Amino acid sequence: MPPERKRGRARLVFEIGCEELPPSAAWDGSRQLRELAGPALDEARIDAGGVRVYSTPRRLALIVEDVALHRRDLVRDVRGPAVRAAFAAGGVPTPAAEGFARSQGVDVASLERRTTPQGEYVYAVRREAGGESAAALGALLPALAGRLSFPRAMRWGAGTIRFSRPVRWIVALLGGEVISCEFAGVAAGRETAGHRTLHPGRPAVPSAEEYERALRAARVMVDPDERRRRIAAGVRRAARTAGGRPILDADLLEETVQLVEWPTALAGRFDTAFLALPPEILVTVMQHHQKYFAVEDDRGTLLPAFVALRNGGTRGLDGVREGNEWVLRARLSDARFFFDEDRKRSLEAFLQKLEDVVFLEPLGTMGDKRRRLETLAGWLHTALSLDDVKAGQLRRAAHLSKADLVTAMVREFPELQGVMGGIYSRLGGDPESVPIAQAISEQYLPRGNVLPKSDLGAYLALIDKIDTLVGAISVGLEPSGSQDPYGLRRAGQGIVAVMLDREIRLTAGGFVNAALDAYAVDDDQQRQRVRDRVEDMLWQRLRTILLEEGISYDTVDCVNGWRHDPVDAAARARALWAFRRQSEFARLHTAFDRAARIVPRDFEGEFHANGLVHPAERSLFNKFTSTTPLVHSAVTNGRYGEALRILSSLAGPVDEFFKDVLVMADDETVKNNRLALLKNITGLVCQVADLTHIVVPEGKPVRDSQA
Amino acid sequence: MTFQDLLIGLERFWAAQGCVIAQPYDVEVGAGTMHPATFLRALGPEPWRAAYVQPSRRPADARYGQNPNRLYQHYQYQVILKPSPDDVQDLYIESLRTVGVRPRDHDLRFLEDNWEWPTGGAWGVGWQVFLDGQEISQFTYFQQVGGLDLPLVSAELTYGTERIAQFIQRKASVFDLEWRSGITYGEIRRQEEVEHSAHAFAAADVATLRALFDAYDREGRRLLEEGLVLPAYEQLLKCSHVFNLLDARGAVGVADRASLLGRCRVIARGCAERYLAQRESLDWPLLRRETHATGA
Repeated sequence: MPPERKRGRARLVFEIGCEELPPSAAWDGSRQLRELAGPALDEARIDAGGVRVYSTPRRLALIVEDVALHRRDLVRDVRGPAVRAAFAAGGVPTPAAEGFARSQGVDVASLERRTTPQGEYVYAVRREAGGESAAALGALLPALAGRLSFPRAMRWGAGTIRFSRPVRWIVALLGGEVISCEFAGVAAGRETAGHRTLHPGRPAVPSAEEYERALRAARVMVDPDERRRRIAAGVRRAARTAGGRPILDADLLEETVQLVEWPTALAGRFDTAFLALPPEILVTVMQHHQKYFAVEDDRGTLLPAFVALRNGGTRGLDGVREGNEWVLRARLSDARFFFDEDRKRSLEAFLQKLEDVVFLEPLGTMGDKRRRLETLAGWLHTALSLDDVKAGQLRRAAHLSKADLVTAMVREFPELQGVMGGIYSRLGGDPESVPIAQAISEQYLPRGNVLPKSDLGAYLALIDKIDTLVGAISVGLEPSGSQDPYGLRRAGQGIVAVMLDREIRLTAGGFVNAALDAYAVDDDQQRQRVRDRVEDMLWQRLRTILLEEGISYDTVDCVNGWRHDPVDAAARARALWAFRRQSEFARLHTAFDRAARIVPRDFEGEFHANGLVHPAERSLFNKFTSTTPLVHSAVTNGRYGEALRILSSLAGPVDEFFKDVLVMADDETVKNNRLALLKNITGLVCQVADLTHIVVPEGKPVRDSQA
Repeated sequence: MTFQDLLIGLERFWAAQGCVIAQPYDVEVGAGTMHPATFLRALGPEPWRAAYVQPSRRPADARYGQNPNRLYQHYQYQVILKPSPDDVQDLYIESLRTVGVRPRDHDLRFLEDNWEWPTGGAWGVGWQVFLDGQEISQFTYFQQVGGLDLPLVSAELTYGTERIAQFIQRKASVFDLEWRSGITYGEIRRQEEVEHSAHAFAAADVATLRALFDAYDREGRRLLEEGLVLPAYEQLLKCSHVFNLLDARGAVGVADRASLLGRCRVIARGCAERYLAQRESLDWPLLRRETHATGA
């Protein structure tokens, strides 16, 4: 049953029908539709209820409930001449008033008098009738479609419009009526398209209310949430028939949702002999290349089975299964061939070939990169005071880290870079190889939320990324706007995330210097430029991470002074953020703020304890003296929350001081001594965080309500 | 359906759609796209529809006739429709039906796959077409060719004919395909594969190939100067093939690769620009005398 509609309201459906969209475009395009629709309707003065979107591989659909059939009237007040000039004696309108009324299209008698801060004026109240929503929607909907942006938009036919894929049909319905409009040369109607193979053709949607039902009848599940549920349940069921449970990879599931309009899961099998291959390879072939879900038993051991999704029903399912099994067999045979080929040599033996592989065009070969990583591993040995065993393993991991790039497996399955190196190194049989193998396999992390699990992996990930970042920046390969072809932002993000995760204390400048040394960059100006740029990038990434944790902008700004040491800056920001939500914070901040405001920025005066004259300033000084070592000790130990609590004990004496003492005394010496004392106090606070950046929400001037 | 029936079926289907049934280009190419009927005709405002079989050579994919689906040379079936018609996907699916693939009985997918040929300054947007998990075709809307924007966007359909035939005939190895009833693909082509593999990986003389590349490159640029677009374009195709042989031979270093491909690109772009100027000076013959069906 369609829901009861309010009078004068109707449901709106706008479906953009396309040739198969990339999954990311289906997700992203529908998200944009949802975000743009509300404000666009409001701007067009069309009242509406809830907005939702659907998407499938072949359509983006916007649904708006309870759309008003008539637009709101536009009421606009226009100020005219001053009352003095508008009316002659006895209230007779002057030519000025008449002219104004005429220009606004209103009757002179309808002008209103209003008092403004500038005096009394006449106003014309203009009212434009809203008219029918359908007419306005006819312009609004195509404009909405035209505002969707896609990273790789295309043209087709003889047209000039760009969209993710060619637009082939448009459904635009308000209630039962078609909204007359056109986008990309396609006129809107009520004809949608059914499932490509189950229901070919162009069924009509009788009314917006019946949109979902009409599509279901045409074998299209238009709601991606429903498809996701169906797929997950179907995949589980199919895996059970194969005797196990699916590895429901989240990315694969999201992708699959946008590859099918009517999902049917089916289980297939492969020869158990292939289980001799490392599971990472089997899973990659199934997930990445065939978009199958791998199947494992209760103990997490892979079974010789897979679950595929078919875009369609159950007809001819055995044939589909057979076809998929056949393809997988060929894929796995290839993989086994490459694996066996690679295994004929040690991982070490591949290193020579790295000399022929370019890293980044002006930055030499992967062989050069490998040597720099070994140098950086040596640098980390000292910088982090690693023990000799660990340092030796790190150097060995760096040595072998890129060798897998020239193996047959990685050339065929590039997403297995690192992973294959780990596998080949492990299979190399070296008894010490376990941590080395793990480090090699973790060097490209973090990926999503997955971080290196081992220390060595974290170190290798750090030096791999700083080398890329510093190298690229030093030859001017900067990311710009949304373009970041070398993944430099991701590298920066990875460095900060790994540092925070394992609390690795490295200064940005020192780390960049080490990387610059490895590149043998010796021009001082260039070194400075790269250092500044990389430090800034790391700070931007750190800011993003902290903001995403929910810490406020101004809190993060307070720790800018420690940006050179990301772990330290993060600890300070987190402590300050926690402290801000306690009552002591307001007192500390008020005291700090008063002191900071009164001391001129360029004040240089020296403090002399024997120049204190008033008891309140003496008591403040005593408190300052007793507090200072406590604060220092807390800061040295990284206990910033504690430092802030100690500092807040200065708030009382500061308040007393301001109450009892006139800072700006006539006597210049007394005045300067007081300013110097206050400066010492703000200086002490700033050893934890620079509170001058704090933005206090209260006390904003009330905005003048007059236009 | 035999392999030859598949090819004949596609020819008939696309002929009925108003395509010029062109013949394979008689210079070695890596893909049907490089045939002038696609690469050059995709340029400019003239409508064009063509279809043809194109033997395509990929020296690096050579496997001595041992791998069940990798070949030094395979047969692409190439269709170019310019401008791309609105029902182009339906036409493609219909063509599969005519060669015996009934979509309802299978799982047919269009999976995002964008195409790029940097040497030719060409790129496009489209899909790999999957049938029950097997990639059987490439489907591309050209966006740029020779570094030039296209006033009419072409749709290019490239069928992997061996793949489709293997699918229809349920043969795990390409060499077991029935070419015509009673004669297999392997009986006709395996020896060729063995010999070309040996040539590509071992026998090809690197110094000779280098000298050939230089000669073709020089000749290509000279011919371009003289305004002989198609002869110059053939020199480019030869450069490209010689490059692929050098690459399979493992004789292309890092810096080398960039420089050799850069030289190819210069000729490719030159050909695209000259071709366009030439068509314009001829007053776009196919624009005036449009004899192509404009779509069903």
